[in-house]
Amino acid sequence: MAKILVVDDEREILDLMEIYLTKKGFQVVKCDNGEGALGIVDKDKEIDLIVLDIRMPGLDGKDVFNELKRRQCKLPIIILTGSMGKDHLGLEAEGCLLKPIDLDDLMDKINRLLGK
Amino acid sequence: MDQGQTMKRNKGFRIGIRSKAVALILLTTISTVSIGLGLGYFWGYRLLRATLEEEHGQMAEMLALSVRTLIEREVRRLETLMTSPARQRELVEANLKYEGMDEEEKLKYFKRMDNEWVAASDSDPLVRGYLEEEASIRFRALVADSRNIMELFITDKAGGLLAASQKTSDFYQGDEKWWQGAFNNGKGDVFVGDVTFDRSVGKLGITFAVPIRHEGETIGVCKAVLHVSSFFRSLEEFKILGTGHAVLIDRTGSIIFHHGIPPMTMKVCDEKNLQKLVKGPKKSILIKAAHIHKRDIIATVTEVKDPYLSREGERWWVLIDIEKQEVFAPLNRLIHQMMLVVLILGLVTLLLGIVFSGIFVKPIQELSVAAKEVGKGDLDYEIKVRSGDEIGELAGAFRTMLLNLKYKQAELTYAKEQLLEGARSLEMRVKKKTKDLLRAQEATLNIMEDLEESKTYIENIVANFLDTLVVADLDGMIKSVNQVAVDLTGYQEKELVGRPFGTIFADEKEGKVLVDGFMQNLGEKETYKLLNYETSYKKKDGTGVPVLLSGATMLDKDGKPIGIVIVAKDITMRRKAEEALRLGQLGKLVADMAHEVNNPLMIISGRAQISLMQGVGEKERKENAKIVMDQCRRAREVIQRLLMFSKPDRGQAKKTDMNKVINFVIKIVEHQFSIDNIKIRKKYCRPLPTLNVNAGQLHEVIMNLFKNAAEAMPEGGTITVVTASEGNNIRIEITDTGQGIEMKDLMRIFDPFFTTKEKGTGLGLSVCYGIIKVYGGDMKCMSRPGEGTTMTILLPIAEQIGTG
Repeated sequence: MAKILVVDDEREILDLMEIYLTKKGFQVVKCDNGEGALGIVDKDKEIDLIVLDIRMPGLDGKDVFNELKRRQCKLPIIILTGSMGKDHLGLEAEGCLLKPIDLDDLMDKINRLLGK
Repeated sequence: MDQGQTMKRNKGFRIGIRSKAVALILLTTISTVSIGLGLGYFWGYRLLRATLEEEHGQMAEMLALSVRTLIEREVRRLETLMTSPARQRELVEANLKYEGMDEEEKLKYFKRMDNEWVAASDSDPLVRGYLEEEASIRFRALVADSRNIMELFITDKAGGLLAASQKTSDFYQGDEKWWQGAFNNGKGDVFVGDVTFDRSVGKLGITFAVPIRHEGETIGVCKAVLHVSSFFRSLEEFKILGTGHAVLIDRTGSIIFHHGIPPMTMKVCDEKNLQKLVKGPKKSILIKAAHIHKRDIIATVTEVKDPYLSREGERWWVLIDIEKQEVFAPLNRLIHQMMLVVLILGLVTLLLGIVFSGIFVKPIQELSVAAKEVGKGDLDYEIKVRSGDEIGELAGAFRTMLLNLKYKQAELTYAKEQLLEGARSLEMRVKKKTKDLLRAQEATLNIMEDLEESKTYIENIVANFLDTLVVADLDGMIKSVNQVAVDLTGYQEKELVGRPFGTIFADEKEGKVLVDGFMQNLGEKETYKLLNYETSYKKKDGTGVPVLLSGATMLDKDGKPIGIVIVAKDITMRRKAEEALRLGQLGKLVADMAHEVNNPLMIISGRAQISLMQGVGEKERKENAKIVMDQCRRAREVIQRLLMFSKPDRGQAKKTDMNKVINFVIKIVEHQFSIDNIKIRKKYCRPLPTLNVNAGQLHEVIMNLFKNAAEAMPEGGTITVVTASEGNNIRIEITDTGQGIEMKDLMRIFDPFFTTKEKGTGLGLSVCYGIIKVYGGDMKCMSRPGEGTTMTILLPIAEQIGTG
């Protein structure tokens, strides 16, 4: 069973993701801030994929993404963003979804990235 | 009163230090010596008196003893005389005639004999019969030989006369006191009697009576009368110094014997002194001049303790009296001599005092004179005092003081010169400055001329000015305009001059307000200035032109306002640029809002999707539906906020309790805040008056303030919410313990699009401000960097529902 880390500052979204992804047969780890996410990735080696929100207070999604790349983290990352501005072009994200996302789109992306 | 007068007045009463010293020495000497003399006299007196008492007491004892011896000797002599057998035989025979005679017969016999005896002369046969008796002849011989005995006779055992040296005053002696004492009812006893006047002798005498005894029986009595003066002749020989005598007195104080005084004629002293003399503990007393004494005397007394005398109840004393004057003469002499010595000593002390005080006082006087001289101003006065004592030191100190004074005076003189010098130089400088001023005035006049020249120059400048320039008079009428103004407004110059200034304003009223603003401030001397005021001019064709206007009052040379100069720049281009910028910002705002809406939308669609999934229970669906509704509300609020920014209104106003509004917001944020280590403290006023507001809008405001507060405290902290009722307002304060706001930012925090946050829209606070203003309230911010921020909201209390 694949393990997905969901990072979003909004609890409602985290809850939504957890319910949906669990129903889809994934194991979900939630985190509501960037720093925490980095810590979890560091410790939990079972994580297979990260769903990362861009807009977060403190260390935002972009910072977390860059930091993970700097640490040469090979995990696939799906970025959730409100707008596809040029700000996000620098992120060589494997997948990028525009909010409001369709959960089925997310599912497709996850499956593709996990090679299912 | 000045010092001179004081000194003059004191002079009359002044006693010099020298006189004081002499008087002191003299007084000390005299008092000391006087006390010494007094004590000497007192002790001397007591010593002398004690010695005298002792010596005279002993002498008196001796004399008393000699008196006793005299009496004893006389008694023995009489007794011896009466032991002759012839006498006894005669008496025994004489006593025989009384045998057979009873007492009555005896008395009758003696009465007859007495009568015959008294009547008879010396030559009468009866008297002669007795005086011719052998015993009488013998007695007469004894009296004639003796210096002491004046009379001597014997009686038989009944008291009848038997033999006598001379005719006795009466025949019967048995009734006499001495006889009864000596016969003593036949037992016989010696009688030594009072000093009395003896009638038979006709002189003062002492009676001696002894019983004549035979075979244990008293057979008769012998009486001898002794001459007092002769008897106590030995006392007369006693003499001490010039005035000391021996005196014999009886119990009444009567003088029995005293040199040169007839016996029993006087008393030695009064009763009081007598009692003191004979009873007192002291052996000697002082008797003041009186009675027999012409002067004070000292009397020392001792009792003559003779058994015969005391038997008859008689008491005699030997007294040694001496004139006090004589006793104390040596002491008085000594005192007199000493007083003489004291007098001499006093004089010597006085002389020495005068001499020595002169030595002591002279330097002080010298110093006094010096002080006066210095006081008068003679600082060069030489003080001649040279001594090693304290006065010398004083003189030394005085000299030092003088030196200091001289030095100070010199300093003062120097300072005075300096002052004068300064004054002179000041005068010079004033003159120089005056000259400079005159020169400057001249120069000013030159400048004025230059100015006149440059007026034309300025006019040229005005003509070629790039901004509009309008000059109005004090009535607000246009006086002149430059070419730029003419070009901008499209009016001819003559069309503008003389018309109201408001003519060229888009809002004519605004022009009037502006001119009025100037007019109201004209009274002040300072130039009234208006800078960078944004408004619009109106062209002749009615279109508006945005301008940036600055103006100032024109003053004449006396500072009196004469007109208003208004310069205005056409800012049409700038406005266009700003508008473009503002639109750009709006785009960003929309983007932000999109973000805000995206999240609820995503949750809504997600929940809906889940609900549609297979195997989802009714309960879960319901829960999803609820979340969907919440998120829809949230999205709506975001959109309303956006609308509010463009045109805030009150929305649906209801009676609202702000405490509830705040609590609602806290419920939303508290979870996040606890994660961020932010605490919320509430200080509510309960009950808080209700407000007539749209609670949703107030949620927005409070939420914004909470968010800002939280963002100011990235490390966590405390947010304090205070609500209070203040007059017609309620007051809400939200205070954080965060980083605070810089002063330059504080000025602009309510401006739209102003933000210090990396990703802020700059709309939060400006929207809040807009909402609060719509309700007629106010919003303030107080902050200092590093000390946190307090946001204060004032909102008017709802008076009635549905206002506005």
